[in-house]
Amino acid sequence: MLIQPLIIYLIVGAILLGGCKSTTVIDEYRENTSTTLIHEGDAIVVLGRRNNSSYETEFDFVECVGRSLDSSLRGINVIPEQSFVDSMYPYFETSKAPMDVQNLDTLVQIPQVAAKLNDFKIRYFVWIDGFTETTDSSGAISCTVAPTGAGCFGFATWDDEANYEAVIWDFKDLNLSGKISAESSGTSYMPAVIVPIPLLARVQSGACSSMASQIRSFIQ
Amino acid sequence: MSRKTMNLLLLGFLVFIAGCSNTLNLQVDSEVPTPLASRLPVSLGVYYNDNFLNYVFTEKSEAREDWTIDNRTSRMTLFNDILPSMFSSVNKVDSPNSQSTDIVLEPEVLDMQVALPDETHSDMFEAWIKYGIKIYSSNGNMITEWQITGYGKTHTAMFKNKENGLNTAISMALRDLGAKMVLDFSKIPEMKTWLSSNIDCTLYPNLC
Repeated sequence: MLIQPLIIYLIVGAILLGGCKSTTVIDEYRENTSTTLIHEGDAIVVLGRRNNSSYETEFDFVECVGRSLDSSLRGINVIPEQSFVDSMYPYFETSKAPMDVQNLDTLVQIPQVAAKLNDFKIRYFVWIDGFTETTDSSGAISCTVAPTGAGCFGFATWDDEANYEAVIWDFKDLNLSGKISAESSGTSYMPAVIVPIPLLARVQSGACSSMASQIRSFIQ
Repeated sequence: MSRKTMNLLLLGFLVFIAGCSNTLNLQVDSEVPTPLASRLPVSLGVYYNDNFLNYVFTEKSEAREDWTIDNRTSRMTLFNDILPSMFSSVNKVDSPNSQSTDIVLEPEVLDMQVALPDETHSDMFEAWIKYGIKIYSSNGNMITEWQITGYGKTHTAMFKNKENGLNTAISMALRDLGAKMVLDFSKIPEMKTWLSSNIDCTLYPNLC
């Protein structure tokens, strides 16, 4: 008796999974094409901008971009954000971090800062600003718990949008190398027949992998 | 209804009640990294007054029935970690009129505020801490009273209970305060004037 709903459930799930896609648009602006090249032994640090009061660039997105670069850039050290910010304390705290590359020029006049950055062998700073949000949702799922058992029934759907911009500073030349923006959107579904099954559009991870791939081609 | 079902329902009810509770008793646990700073050629005395040693955030309102946030240990750790990286020597003194050091700092907590996600309709816990730091010269005259505010927030409230969320936000606010102490102290106009007439400007031109 349970076989029939299960088959329907699987068919609906498969259809939705097929439709559960996200699209990502990447845009690139290159300031200077002649010097944007990284060499073996150089390091790169990916940092999040968090000075906007209405949103905050997610730590896990910044970490995702850093991890993705680390796994694909051979011989290049990708410094984890928190470890870099702690080592440079207090110069890269949210309220004190350099907002443009000219401020970085001022910062390297401080001997301790310059020495630490040289220890890291930093070549590029990548500043990521943006966030992922749910823009629309509809449907409902209701769940019931009783002594005889528990179950849910219903259908919910929601749209997610991710907008991020990466600004790349060249520490060697102390100039702006370029900017990369990633816009991603997708619709997720959650049908529930006894058990809710989330069919998620990988909006944020799509933006992360696309942005990391673009940064990689930008600096190599 | 079986005894097992009754126990499960009772447990669920207790979890529900605990989740709705408006009481809070938080002991803040935080630390800041060692600052990357050059020391000022100034000997410092620190006078911790009763306000600084004993201030505990308390609130009894309809929305916050019985709230206590104690960050005494965290702020003492902050000052003990930050000040030695800012000055050539640091000593605790018993009065702001101590004449054994070049200057004396007397910090106090002026204000503290916290906000929960459902209060601000955001996905973040937030904290603000305002300190007043009186700075005295070795003759006991007050050079200035410096006010600094530290702000901290959690990046997401998801999967965080009230205690964890506020602990993170307050830790970030203390970290922000430490950053401002290190980087802004020598930029206070009255301190710039004092430094110009009390240190060798040929050796430290950026401080004069």
